Amino acid sequence: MNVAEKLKILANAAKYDASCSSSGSARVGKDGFGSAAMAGICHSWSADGRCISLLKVLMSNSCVYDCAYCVNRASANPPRATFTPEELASLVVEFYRRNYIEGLFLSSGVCRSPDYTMELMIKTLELLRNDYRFYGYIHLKVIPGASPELISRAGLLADRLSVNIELPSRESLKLLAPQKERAGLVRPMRNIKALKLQNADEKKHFKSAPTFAPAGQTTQMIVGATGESDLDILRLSKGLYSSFDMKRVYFSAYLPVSTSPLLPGREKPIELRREHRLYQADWLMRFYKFDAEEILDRAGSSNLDPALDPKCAWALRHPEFFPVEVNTADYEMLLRVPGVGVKSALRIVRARRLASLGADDLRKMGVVMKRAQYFLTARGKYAGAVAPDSPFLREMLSERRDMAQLSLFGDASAPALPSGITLSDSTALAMCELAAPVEW
Amino acid sequence: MLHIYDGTFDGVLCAVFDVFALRDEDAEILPADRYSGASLYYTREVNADPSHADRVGNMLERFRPGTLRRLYTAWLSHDEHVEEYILAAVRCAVAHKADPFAFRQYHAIFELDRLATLVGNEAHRMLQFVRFVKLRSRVYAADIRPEYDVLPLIGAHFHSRFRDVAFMIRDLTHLRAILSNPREWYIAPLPAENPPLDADGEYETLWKLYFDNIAIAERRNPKLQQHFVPQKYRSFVAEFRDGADARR
Ligand code: SF4
Repeated sequence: MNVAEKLKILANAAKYDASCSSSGSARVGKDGFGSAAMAGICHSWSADGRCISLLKVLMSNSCVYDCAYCVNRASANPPRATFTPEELASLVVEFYRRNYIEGLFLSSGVCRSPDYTMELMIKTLELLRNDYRFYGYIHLKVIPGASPELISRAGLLADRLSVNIELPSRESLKLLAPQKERAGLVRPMRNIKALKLQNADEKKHFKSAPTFAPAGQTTQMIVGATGESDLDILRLSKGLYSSFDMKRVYFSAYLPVSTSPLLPGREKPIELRREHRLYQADWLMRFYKFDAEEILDRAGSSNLDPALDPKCAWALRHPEFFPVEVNTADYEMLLRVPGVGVKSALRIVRARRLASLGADDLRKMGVVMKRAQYFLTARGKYAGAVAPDSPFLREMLSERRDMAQLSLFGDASAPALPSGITLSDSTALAMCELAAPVEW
Repeated sequence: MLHIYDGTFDGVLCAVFDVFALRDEDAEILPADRYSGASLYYTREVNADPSHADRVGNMLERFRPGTLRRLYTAWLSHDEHVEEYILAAVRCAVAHKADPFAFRQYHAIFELDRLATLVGNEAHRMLQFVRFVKLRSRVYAADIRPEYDVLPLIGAHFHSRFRDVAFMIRDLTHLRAILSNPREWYIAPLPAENPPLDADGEYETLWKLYFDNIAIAERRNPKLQQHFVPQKYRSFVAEFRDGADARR
C-alpha cells in the first residue's frame, strides 16, 4: 500500500478527534528547524469549518478493542492501514517545510497491544526529534494501558499528551467500551501529572533537563451517545481540570458511526448545538470565573438551554445583580455582564480611570451592546430597549430562530451551526484554542 | 506647519520629535511620496536623526512594552490619516504619562488601534496561509497577495522557523519579497513582472488528499470555513487554489 492510500485511510480514521490545537509550547532549537508558537497557529480550515493546525492521523487504524462508538473497532470493517515510523516522519517534515502544518497530532488504534502501539509512535517521534532535528509541535495521544515507562519517554518528545476520558460516566464506558475501564483511563492522566511535577522539580536543579510535555495534557469525551446531563458533564470536566491540571477538556458530538443497538440511531440529530453550549459553559468556567454549579444550578434544569447562551441564561436567572454601573463595578462583575468579554472588561477598567464612560465609549471598548444594553448602565443611564425584568427580555436574547437548521437530516445542505457566524463562534474557537476568549 | 518625512517609520517618529521640539500646536505630518508640493501650510523637511526616533520610541516603551510595535503595525497600513493618529497618540501618552492605547474612547486612538488590528490580523493570516513550494534549486518559495504591507511583521517568524534553508516570500501586491538564508533575512524589491512558481508535485497532492479527508461530511459548514479563509486569500493557498469543491 502506498503512502497516499495510507494517508487517506488514516486521516479519515482520525478526523473525529476534536482537538487540533498547537498551543501552549514555545519551542525553538539552534540546530535543525521548526518552532512552536505559544498561541498556536491554524493553517487551514476544512469543509466542516474546523481548523487544521496539525497533521492529525492515526499511526494505525487496526484495533484489538471493540468500542461501540468507534469507526475503528475490531468488529467493524473499514480498510485498515499502518504507517511505518519512517513514512510518517517524512510526511510530517515535508508538510511542515511547506508551511501546511504546525506539527503532528498522533493517535492510534490499539495495534497488537498498547505497548507495541506506543513503541511505534515513540519511534516516529524519535525520528522527528533526533534524526530530523524537528522542533515543531507534537501532540501524542497516549494509548490506554501503555506502561508508565513509555509514557515517560513519550512526554520528553511530545509537547502535549492526552488520554481520552471517552464518555461522561463510568457506566457508559462499561456499556460501550467494555475493554476499557475508567480507572485505566485515569491512571495515565495521573501518571502524566506526576511526571510533569517531577520534571519541574528536576528542572530547578538542572536547567538543561528536557521539559516533560511543556503544553500539558488534555482530554476529550463524546456527548450525546449516552444519557448524561449537561450538569454531569460540566462537573466531570471541572474535576478533570482540577485533578489533573488539564489544559483543555474537549467535547465531541456523537456521530452515528455504528448500528449498535446500544447507541442512538441515524434518526437522532447530531447534537452540535449542545456541543456548542458545552464549549461556552467550559469557557465561562475557565476564563470568566464561573463555577459549574452556577452555570447549571440543581434547582433548575440540569441541561443547558439550547436557545440561550449560558452567560445570558445565568444573567436572566439573577436579575438581582443587574444592571451594573460600568464606571464603578469591579472587574469580576463586569466579566459577568453578557456582551462584555475579558478584553473589553480590561479595557473598561483601564479607560475609566481617566474619565467616566458613556454608552458610546463602551462600543469603542468592544462591548457587544446588543446583549449588554439590558444589563448595564453607563453614568447611570440604562440603554436597554426593554427593562431588565421585562418578560420579553428572554425572548429577545434567545437564538431560537436558528434551531431549525440544526436538524442535519431534515436538510442535508443546511449549515450545521447557526447562521451569522462571527468570531464569537466559540465552538470553532474552542477547537483551535486560538485567540482571546470570545466577547460575550 | 507641514512636516515632510522620508516615508520610513523612523522618519515619522523623527517628525513627532520635531513637532514637540518646535512646540508646533497645529502640525501636520506627511510622507514625501504623498506630498503634492502644494500646501497652504508652512512646509519643512523633517530632520532624520535616528537618536530622535529612539527617544520617542523609548518613551512609549517605558509606559508599556509593545506600544511601539503596535504603533509600527498601525503605521504599516499606510492609511492617509495614520501620521495624524500617531501624533495624537504620542501627545496623549505625554499628557497622561501612560500607554496611549488605554484611551480608546478618543477617536484617534480608536482608529490607530483599529488599523493596528487590521494589519496585525492580516500578518497573522500570512503566518497561516503562506504555502511554500520546493524549487528545483532546493530553495523554498511562496507567493502571497496581502492587502497590507505585512512582510516586515512576518519575516522573523519564518526566518527562525526555517533557519536551515534558503527561502523567499513574494508579496505580489506590494512587489517586495522576503529573502532568507541561514545567516539573515531582508526585504528586497521585486520587478513588476514575476513568473509564476512551479507546482510542487507530490507533496502538494498528498496535502490536498489529507485536506479533503480530514473533514467530517456530516458537519459540513462552508459558511464557517469561508469566515476563516476569506475568498481574497484563496488564490494563493494551495488547497483552495483550484477549488476545494471541484475535487470532491
Ligand atoms: S480502542 Fe480506540 S481505536 Fe480502538 S475501538 Fe476503542 S476507541 Fe476505537
